[in-house]
Amino acid sequence: MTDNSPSLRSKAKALLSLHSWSGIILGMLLYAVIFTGTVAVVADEIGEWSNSNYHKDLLVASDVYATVSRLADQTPVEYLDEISVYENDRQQLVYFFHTHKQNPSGDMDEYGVQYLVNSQGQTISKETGFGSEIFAQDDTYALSRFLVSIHTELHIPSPWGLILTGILGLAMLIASVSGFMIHRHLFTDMFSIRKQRDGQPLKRDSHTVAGTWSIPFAILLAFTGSFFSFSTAFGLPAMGVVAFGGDQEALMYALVGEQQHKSEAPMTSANFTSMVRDAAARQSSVPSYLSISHMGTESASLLAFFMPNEGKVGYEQLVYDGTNGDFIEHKPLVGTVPSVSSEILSLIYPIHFGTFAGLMSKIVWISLGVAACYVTITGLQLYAHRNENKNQKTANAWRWFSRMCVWGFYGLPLCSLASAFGFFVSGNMGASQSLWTQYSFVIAAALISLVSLAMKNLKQLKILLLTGNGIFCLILPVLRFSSSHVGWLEALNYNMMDMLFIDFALLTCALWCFIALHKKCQQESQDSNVWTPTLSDVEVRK
Amino acid sequence: MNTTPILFLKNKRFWLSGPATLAVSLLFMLAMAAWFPPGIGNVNNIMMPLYMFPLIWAILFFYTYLTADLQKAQWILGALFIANTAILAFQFLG
Repeated sequence: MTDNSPSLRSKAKALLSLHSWSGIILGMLLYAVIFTGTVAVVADEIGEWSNSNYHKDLLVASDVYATVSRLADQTPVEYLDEISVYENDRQQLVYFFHTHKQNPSGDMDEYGVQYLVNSQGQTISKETGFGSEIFAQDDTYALSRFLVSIHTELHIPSPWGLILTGILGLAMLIASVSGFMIHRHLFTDMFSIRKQRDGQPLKRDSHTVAGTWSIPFAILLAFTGSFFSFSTAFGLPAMGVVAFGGDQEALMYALVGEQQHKSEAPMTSANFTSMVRDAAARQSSVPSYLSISHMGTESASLLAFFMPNEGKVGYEQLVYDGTNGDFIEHKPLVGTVPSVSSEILSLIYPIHFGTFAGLMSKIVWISLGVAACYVTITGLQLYAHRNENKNQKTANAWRWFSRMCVWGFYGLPLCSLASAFGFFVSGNMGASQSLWTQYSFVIAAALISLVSLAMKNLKQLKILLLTGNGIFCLILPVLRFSSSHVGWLEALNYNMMDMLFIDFALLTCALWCFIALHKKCQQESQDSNVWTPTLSDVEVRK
Repeated sequence: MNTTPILFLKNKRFWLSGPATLAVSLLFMLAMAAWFPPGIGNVNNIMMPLYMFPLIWAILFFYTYLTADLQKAQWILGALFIANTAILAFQFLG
């Protein structure tokens, strides 16, 4: 962007420059966010898979009202403000009786008592604390939570992680819009891999084809992703300052669509179990979670939240009057009545998470995510390769850049697989899965970094990391089986499609790794070695 | 494109497309909370600016990056800055 005379350069050249630099400066982090985002699309399935679980639909099958009433008698009255109920990935119902107050970080949080109740209705654990803390220590979601957190915040403390991922979303927007604008032959570029090409020209063609297919997806995801990051990091509080003079509580009540001051006059609540079953019958589905507000007062209500059902795109929220059990309304996602904002929000969620057509839409989203990863990888590799050959003075720096690309592109999937390995091994050993999922990732990252610095031959480094990925993809289904003893026949019997999907996805990835490995080994035996710098070379020179 | 690390700091286009565009987009988003109709649900003035922030930023960014007339771009950003600051000042002080 240092050229002061734009009239002398074509706009296409400027866009190409913008496309390249936005990728080079933030490409590696962007790859991390896109890769983990692709994994996060199946976060729910990973949760089910990591616990070899299938949902027993306990919210409908069990007597929620009886359990809530029993637990309410043991719970301090201040926590009866709101009760969240959901079935976790270990066939238990989680009842969280809570109120709202500031946590030590200064954010509004839920605070109260969480009970775990098994499918027989017995309470198996009780914990008091802030909702964010209890959730962060819950081993049930250790693996899916860890992977999703890399995507949303790169494990950087709030709000900086969110701001960074928001900036990465904007960088992705720049790269995809500029990529779209520099295409003069958009439709022919979708199919323009030329047969006679190989090596770098083939890579360039593949970059263009994958990029062209994923442009609409990348623009949508970049747009919705930066909205999520910025609105959570500072957007909503800032809106509260302007629209409500800084009254964050009033802002939350406006968004949630509740009156700020409700009557707390005592009144017996109606049967919540009947309300839940009525909601399930209306939606022909089982709710994902329930929220019971102001139980035992004349303001009591029940909200049943549903994931997109067959033939529907958005989430559904059904509200019942808790005093007489009457159905009140289909509640919008924000505000009290349907509005443009709630319609847009109900579209943004399924678009970003790929939940609009069940597992099928998720598979499409994963495929496009893989294409976007490939575009990022090949884009950076092409730029590094071009500069290695163009300028002898900077060739060394660009070779280091190539090495960093290999480290990141092959290393991040390997670290993620290692975190799943840590999850299962720690579970089998009775250690904290929440901690060991993270530790395994860090240990793998440290080892991969050391190997990447020490190994002289870049092609051999690629082969090693690819082998590691293939082996882990092969091992994980076996580890899952050894920890739960749930096999594929049993999974088919209980219709555990999520678990089967992840098992087969991992085996497909293993197969892909070994095919790629075979090709690379063949190529390796044909090519002569290209020197690239290593840490030991730098030390020798010093 | 010159890749010397420090030279881009002397470039007017960098300051316009970078910090100035970001600042104006943020101000635009905040000021929208004051003038955008809240609607029956009373939430449009809160949510619409948040949805539109990436869009506003992208439009201003590509405009300032691609325009041949930097002077005009500077005036447009300046005008948006003043107008939105005035709206916010009126909201807080008026």
